[in-house]
Amino acid sequence: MTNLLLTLKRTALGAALIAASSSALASITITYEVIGQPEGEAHAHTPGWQTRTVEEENLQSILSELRSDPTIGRIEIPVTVTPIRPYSEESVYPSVHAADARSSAVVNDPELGQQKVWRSVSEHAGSMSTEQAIELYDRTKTMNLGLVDGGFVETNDMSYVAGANLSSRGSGRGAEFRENILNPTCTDRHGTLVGHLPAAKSNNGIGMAGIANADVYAARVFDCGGTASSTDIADAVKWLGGYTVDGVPDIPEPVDVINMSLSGASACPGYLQDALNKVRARGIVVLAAAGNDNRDTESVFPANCDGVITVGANDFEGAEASFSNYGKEVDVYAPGVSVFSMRGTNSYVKVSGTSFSAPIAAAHALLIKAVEPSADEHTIIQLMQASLNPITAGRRETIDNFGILDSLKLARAIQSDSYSARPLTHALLHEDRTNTLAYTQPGTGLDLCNLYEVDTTKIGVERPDGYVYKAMSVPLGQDFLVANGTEVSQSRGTRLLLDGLTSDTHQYGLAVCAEVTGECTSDILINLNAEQAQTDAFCP
Amino acid sequence: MKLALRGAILSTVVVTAGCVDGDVNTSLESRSPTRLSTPTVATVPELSIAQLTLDDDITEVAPVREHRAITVTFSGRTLNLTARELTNPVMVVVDVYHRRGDETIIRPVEVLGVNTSAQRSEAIGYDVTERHEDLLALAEDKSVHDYFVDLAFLNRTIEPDVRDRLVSYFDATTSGHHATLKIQMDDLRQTFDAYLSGHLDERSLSESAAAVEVTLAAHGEHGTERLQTIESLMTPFIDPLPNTSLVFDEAAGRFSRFYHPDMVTKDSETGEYAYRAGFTMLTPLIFR
Repeated sequence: MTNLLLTLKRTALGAALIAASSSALASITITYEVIGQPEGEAHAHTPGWQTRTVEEENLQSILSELRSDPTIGRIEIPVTVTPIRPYSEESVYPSVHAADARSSAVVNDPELGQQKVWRSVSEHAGSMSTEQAIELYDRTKTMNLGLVDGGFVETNDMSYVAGANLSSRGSGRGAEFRENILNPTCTDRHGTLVGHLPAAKSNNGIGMAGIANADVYAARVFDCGGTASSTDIADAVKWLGGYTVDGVPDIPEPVDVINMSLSGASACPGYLQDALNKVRARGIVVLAAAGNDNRDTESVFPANCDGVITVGANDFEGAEASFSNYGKEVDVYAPGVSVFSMRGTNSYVKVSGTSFSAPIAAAHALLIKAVEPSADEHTIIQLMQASLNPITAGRRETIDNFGILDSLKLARAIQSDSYSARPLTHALLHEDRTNTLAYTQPGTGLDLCNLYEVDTTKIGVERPDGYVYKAMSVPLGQDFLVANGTEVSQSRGTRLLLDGLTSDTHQYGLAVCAEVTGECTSDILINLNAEQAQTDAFCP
Repeated sequence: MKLALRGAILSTVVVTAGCVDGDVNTSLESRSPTRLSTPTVATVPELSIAQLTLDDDITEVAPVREHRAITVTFSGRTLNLTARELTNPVMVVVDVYHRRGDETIIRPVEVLGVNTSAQRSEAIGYDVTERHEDLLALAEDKSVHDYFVDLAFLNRTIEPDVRDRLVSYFDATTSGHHATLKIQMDDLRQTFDAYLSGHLDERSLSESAAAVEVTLAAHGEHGTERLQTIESLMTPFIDPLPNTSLVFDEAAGRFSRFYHPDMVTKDSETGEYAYRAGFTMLTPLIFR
């Protein structure tokens, strides 16, 4: 994830234009951002990102027309994207033939023994101790996982609640998304392999065990040839976030987490960033694979997009996978070498690639959101980075940046009785104030019933000089944006005090804003999970 | 055992030991002696005689662990314990034999010789051994300091950034005496261990304890200064602190500035401390 504000300008389009003009497309979709209105024509253009399909022969004249329009900001040509192909794929037999079949007290899935991801870190340094952790997680609530991918087929161990084909290529968009129906000769099963890791049904006596208890919503953007347009990807993100998108029926309900195991080589397209911001404003968390090119993620999207949790791959020895992209955008690592998954009913493979690290991390994001529904990417990154595999954490020579997510440590961190990572709490529930008697004794002058506090050190968002933290309330039902917020507290320090919460009618969020101009570093508020914080414990 | 060493100086000590203070291992068939499993403990200050009166006549005293400075004799039901001048705390152990009907009872008795002339140094050694990290960090001062800063923040008397700044300014590692004190406290802990095991005498202990006492008082100036800085934040809640530095309070057996007689009273019967009016808000901070 990058915190840099996008600075793409019209002049940045050269490379994309060249790439686009060399293709054989008869028509081209362009995207542009409406940033103003002509004087006296208040409704001439709809503000925000717009798309327009033009004939290739008319492209240059239309671009000239848009460039000369002062109400138009950035203009982009969609980037062609490929799914992150497995670095390797190896068929494996069901565990009835395997020597390492394993039983578990928690799940009875027969292939669990082949799922090294679930093993203890003491057994494989690069594993996640998921088998030990699974008892601790609250998996009673079924979460919604959105996959932006392709190659979806149903198996006897995973099904889809809803799906849509958002690819503009081939037969075009529609409600049917299953690859084996759209193209029976296509053997691509990328999305199927990705989906089983977090969302295979567990404890059903069939196949493998998924890490989370999740329903899958499939957004098909890749054709069988494995290409997609960045605008289709952006539309898929919006569709999964509950926005209406042309050509497909609306999704029944927005998902909780979106996984994108795909990459394109460019800066984050503005149109995609806009879509990501829209779903983030609805509290949806997005994870992306770092990519398999052994390069810096700085130039790979969506890994480099703002507000995305980027996941790199490690092997089971605890070292960074040789193919994994790396760099400051990588937030956490998860296993991505010889990972066991399903490509169809009774069809098992071991696959390698960051495509498979991302959904493993996405499963853990779902487990966090099951406990903390308002947890946004800041909270989730903070929790994941505080729950790293103790064997490999800090080993910079093997894992860039941070380390490998440890499922067991994370499970312990989010157990309700010991959870201390919430940035917004009643002030007396902050772990710095365990001496409750000192604060509840007579004479302190405190209004204990309404004493809430934000500890910004738990979010990890820097406050540059000249900026302040602002806590804002947003009425429930409105997008979680600074523009919709009312300031309730402000601070130049690490803490903010709030006089009471009304979480039944409002969400609460944090922004970092310039003291003088009031301009904030992000349009989207950092969710403070107020509904989890509100308590009557200190009220008379 | 260390606490027992800090007993009051008495010229004569009389201890009555009941006959039910231990599990009895017996065998009716063999009528072999019965050994009580819990030892009876008696203390005798240096240069004094103490007596331990038991329930039954003593028939024999057999030494188990001896020391030249402690003599144990008996007469009737009484053990006579005599201590010469000591340079260390010492302990001797004897098995005391009684006859009770046809039965022979063996009662183990531990006699602790108290080195009364070193009691202050021992108490300092004990406190430093137990709390060396807290003392180095001036943890008691900091808990009081941070509490009143936090209370001012929660009452909105100070801004959040002022709270952060004040809390960060109390940092005992910035004291010019931090490094020296750490070395001296490590030395005292080793010296105290060697003293208790008899490898070093009280002169070494008192020199090491005195060095720590001086440096800790100087180190404590950081706490004094930080507490003075926030005096205006404290005065709405407590009276001004008496002008006292970080000293060793013999009655409390600890280094502290919060046991000053102007601030606390001590119950003569229970030995419990309580803060006087004007300082009661310190109760949950100091007497946790």
